[in-house]
Amino acid sequence: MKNFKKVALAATITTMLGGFASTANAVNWLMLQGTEKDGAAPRAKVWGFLQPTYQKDTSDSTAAEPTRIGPNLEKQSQFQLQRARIGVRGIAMPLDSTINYFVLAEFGQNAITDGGIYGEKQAVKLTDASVTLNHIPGARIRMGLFKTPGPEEVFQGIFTFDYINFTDVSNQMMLERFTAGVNQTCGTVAAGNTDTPGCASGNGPIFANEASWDSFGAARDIGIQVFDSFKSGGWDHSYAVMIGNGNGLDTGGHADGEDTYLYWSSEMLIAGGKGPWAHGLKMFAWSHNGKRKVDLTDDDTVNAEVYDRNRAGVGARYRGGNWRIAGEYMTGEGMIFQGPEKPNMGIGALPQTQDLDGESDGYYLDVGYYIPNTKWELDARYDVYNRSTTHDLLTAEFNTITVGVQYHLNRKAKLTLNYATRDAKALDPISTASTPLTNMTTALHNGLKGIEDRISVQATIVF
Amino acid sequence: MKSNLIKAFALLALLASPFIGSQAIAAGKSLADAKIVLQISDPNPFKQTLVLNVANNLIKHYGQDSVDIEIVAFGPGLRLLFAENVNKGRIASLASSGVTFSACANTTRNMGKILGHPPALNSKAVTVGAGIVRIIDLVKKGYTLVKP
Repeated sequence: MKNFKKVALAATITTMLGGFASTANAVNWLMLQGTEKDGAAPRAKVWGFLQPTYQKDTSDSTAAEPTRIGPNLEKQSQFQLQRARIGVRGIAMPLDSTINYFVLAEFGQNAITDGGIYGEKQAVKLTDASVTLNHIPGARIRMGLFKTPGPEEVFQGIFTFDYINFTDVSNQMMLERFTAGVNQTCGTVAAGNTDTPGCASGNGPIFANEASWDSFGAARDIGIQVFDSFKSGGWDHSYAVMIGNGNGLDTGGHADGEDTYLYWSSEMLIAGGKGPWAHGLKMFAWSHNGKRKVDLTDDDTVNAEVYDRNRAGVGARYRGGNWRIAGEYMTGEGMIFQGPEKPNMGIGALPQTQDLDGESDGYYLDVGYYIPNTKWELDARYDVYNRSTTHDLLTAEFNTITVGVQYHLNRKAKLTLNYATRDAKALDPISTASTPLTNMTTALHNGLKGIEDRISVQATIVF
Repeated sequence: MKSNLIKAFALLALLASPFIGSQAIAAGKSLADAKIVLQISDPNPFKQTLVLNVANNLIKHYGQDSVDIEIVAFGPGLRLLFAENVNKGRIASLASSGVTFSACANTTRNMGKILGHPPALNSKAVTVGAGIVRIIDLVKKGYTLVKP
């Protein structure tokens, strides 16, 4: 919340100081995803995108637990249909632009449709289904299942994403996994060892009422959001306040009460670009706050305990001329997911669990350059994720440098090549009589040691 | 006699000059190199963009003072002239360049029955009795009908 207030203040001050007349458009994901064009929206626009992908993980294949490509976690290299989404959006009645709708379903193979060894497999999964009412000036209302307002990397229309994989901080800290009790063995922890909360009984913590991993966050929630956008003096300001179940794509009883989501962005508009690629300098801040019910005992009785799950972040993105420069900083308190790297693309049988009251933070810096008069765009990103910084035995650090190139076949199709140099390590705790290493800790160390570079190729076609 | 005739013509010309001048101004559009009526009656939102693009391109080609453009909207195409239409900025810009926007009264009335109230129209729009009749009248006056 502190960061949120700081950025909001900075945005307000900057707005007061600057500003110029402009007819440019903002890259406003609240509006682009939640509303339709007044008087110019179709009754039903069918749209979607496909992302066939090939990935090869060069991690040590001879290690006991090599990293594998998800969601099935069976091979270190494979072709996959990372995303295949088809949807319909528009207005219920062409004469009345005040009521909009948005529906999107996932037909591809990723954690949304395939829990791998941890969860269930579904051929199709609804990812968005919402109605927006635009009757109250300054307070549009969106209801249903949709993306929660949050970090730009996750909040943006994913087909405009300049990379193939998310940063570790977004992937591990923001995309919530409702871990189940299966395949989770934390090992024995000596009495009094509080560094591995939730593992004291021999099994990892599971979400209350969770028989198997039956939901995935996907940066979405079912709830209601009040939001709007205001243009003033060459700036576009927007806000969103949302309340949701805190249960990702599905309804369920994993959350205690409702999650609240706050979002603010201010964008200085710059002439040039269109739609998601409009030029501008955007600053934003957001926070997510909720509570989760967790069962800490390995028996048939639900002994739910409640833990906070709080997230917050600030960031900025500039797009102008041929350049794109972006950066975000995010923090997390509670329910820190413990997957070795890409949890559903992680290390075979390593348990998936949660650091219940741990803390994490991370950031990324991103630069893109569109080579003039060509179809080539060059990308480079550096991201850091400091996981479970308050529990020594779980503390891990992930550093990744991703270089990429995009070849834009046309405005609706592109090829992307990424090479990620990954360095992951854990603190090296010393086993003593009073604080012996747990199986979990040993597995974490062994797993992280094996992580090496990854190469990915992807085609994106939007229709 | 000859000098009297010359004086009479000169006097007549002097008296008529203000009238001739105002007539020329009033008939400025009718003296345009091109007169075009653009029809929009399609529900497809892309057609809204297209018809505005065509009007803009005509002005660029002929020059603002040498082309007379009227956009007639009726049927589902009347949405272009709704007050909150996303293209209202472009409509204002084209109107300031001399483009006339005509809204069909019949369509407005029928849409009002569906909505329960008349749709609010763009302030730049001029209501005409029937869009199709307006087009026929303009064609009779020498306008070229284009339906992008």
